[in-house]
Amino acid sequence: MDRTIWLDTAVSGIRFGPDRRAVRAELEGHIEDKMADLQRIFPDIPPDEARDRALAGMGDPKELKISLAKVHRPWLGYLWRASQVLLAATVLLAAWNWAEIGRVFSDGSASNYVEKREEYRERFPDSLEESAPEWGQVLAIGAGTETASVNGYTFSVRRASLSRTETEGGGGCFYLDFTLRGTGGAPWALPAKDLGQWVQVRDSRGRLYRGWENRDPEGRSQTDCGWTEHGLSWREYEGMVFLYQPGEGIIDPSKTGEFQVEFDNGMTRFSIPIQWRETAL
Amino acid sequence: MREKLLKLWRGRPRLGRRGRIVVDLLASVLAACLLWAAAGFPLPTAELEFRRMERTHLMPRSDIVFTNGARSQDGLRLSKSDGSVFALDGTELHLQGRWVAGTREERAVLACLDGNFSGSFIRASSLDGGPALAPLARSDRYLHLNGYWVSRGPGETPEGHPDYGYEYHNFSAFLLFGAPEGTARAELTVWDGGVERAGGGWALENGLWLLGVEDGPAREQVSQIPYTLRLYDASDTLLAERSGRLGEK
Repeated sequence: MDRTIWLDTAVSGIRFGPDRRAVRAELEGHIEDKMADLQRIFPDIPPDEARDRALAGMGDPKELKISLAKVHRPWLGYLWRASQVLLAATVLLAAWNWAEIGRVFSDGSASNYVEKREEYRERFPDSLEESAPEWGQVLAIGAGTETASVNGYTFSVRRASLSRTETEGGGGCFYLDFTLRGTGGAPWALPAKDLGQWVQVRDSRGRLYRGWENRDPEGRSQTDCGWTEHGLSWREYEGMVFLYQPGEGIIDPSKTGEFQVEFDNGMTRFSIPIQWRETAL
Repeated sequence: MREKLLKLWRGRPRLGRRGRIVVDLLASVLAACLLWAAAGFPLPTAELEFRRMERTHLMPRSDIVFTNGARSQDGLRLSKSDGSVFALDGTELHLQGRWVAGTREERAVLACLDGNFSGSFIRASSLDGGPALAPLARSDRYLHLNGYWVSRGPGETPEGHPDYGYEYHNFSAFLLFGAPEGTARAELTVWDGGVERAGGGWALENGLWLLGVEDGPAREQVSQIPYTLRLYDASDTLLAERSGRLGEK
């Protein structure tokens, strides 16, 4: 019998192509080993006879076909190939979307320029001596004294500062800056990006600082809490309040007492008092 | 170094076919999770999206009373992203984007899960014991046409067959919560940039009404637009009247 026909018959019951080729190569190796053995033992044996005897020693290819078909179940091979295709497709798509994926782990998104946000952070020095003069004089630094728990999140005012900026016409105006932090929640359910729209600041005399109501005649404004940054389980909101009240003008923080950051979306309300750790008021 | 790496690679644990399938599937699930993240963690149903919006916007869970997620019967949507809601009289009303509304005690919550003009947002408003009007639009945007209903065109073809043309009636949509019992007709007028836009509405399930005003200039921010709402009973007696600005709670 021709060796090719014998091999084709023996492996024809294996339906998964890669397995069929692998088994065929293995059987072919065995046949060649047997032929080499025979030629070593009987150096004068003609190659055709060595092949026929080697094939005869391998058994009936039709019986072997049935045994191999039982052992090599095709569905496992197809499943393996499908899992490879699936993996390749998802990995390629993930690589294609890598920039978006990176934003899941950490992202800073500002309603203003990123550069501005970086400068804005200089308003939170570790001590009053370290304040950046180009942003005016930092008069007080501190943080929230309490936390608020809502819908499984915990909110805190991680840092706060009061600063005085010189105005063109002399005198100065005052800003209160704060970082509201919400922790808890899975990456797919972090505190929403636009929560800042419901954040405001109140002083101990009940004055509210929020929205465009606190814009002075020169156009300076108001509470802006639109800059956000997040990690896998937290989101931070950078807030800035211009201490101004229509009818009263610029508010001097040394005369207002305490401040608190408030949240009110019409259904949930909480407030976190700010305590100054260091003050030059 | 290269030799070390090769040695490590050659010495890796050899897995059988089943083991390889499991590893491939696990790695695929991981990559699929990353893709889900890249797509912004979308959820399969409008209700789940709404619940997540409530939670992440620090709102308590409300009872869902409105969604435009019905299967279209007329099949005449202008876009795949439009959703349908059926009035009690059977009229199919199409709205751009996916909308869900809920109520809890004296508060109504309206959420746009995605919309051509609005993006996604969620907003709570006071029901205040009386009828409360909620524009299906962001307060700081314009009053665009975002709803339509379709009627069969009139007449017949030159051959005498029914004319299968359709007429689209566009409107800017509002939800009305807390309409008094017995309300049979609604009239809504807004003055957008001084131009009057008027319209009526359809009664929905759960005591809600969907109101719509006709096309207009879309000049003013929604929250600044004055409106007058009148509700009548079946004998055309005025049941309630409400005026104000759309942004007022």
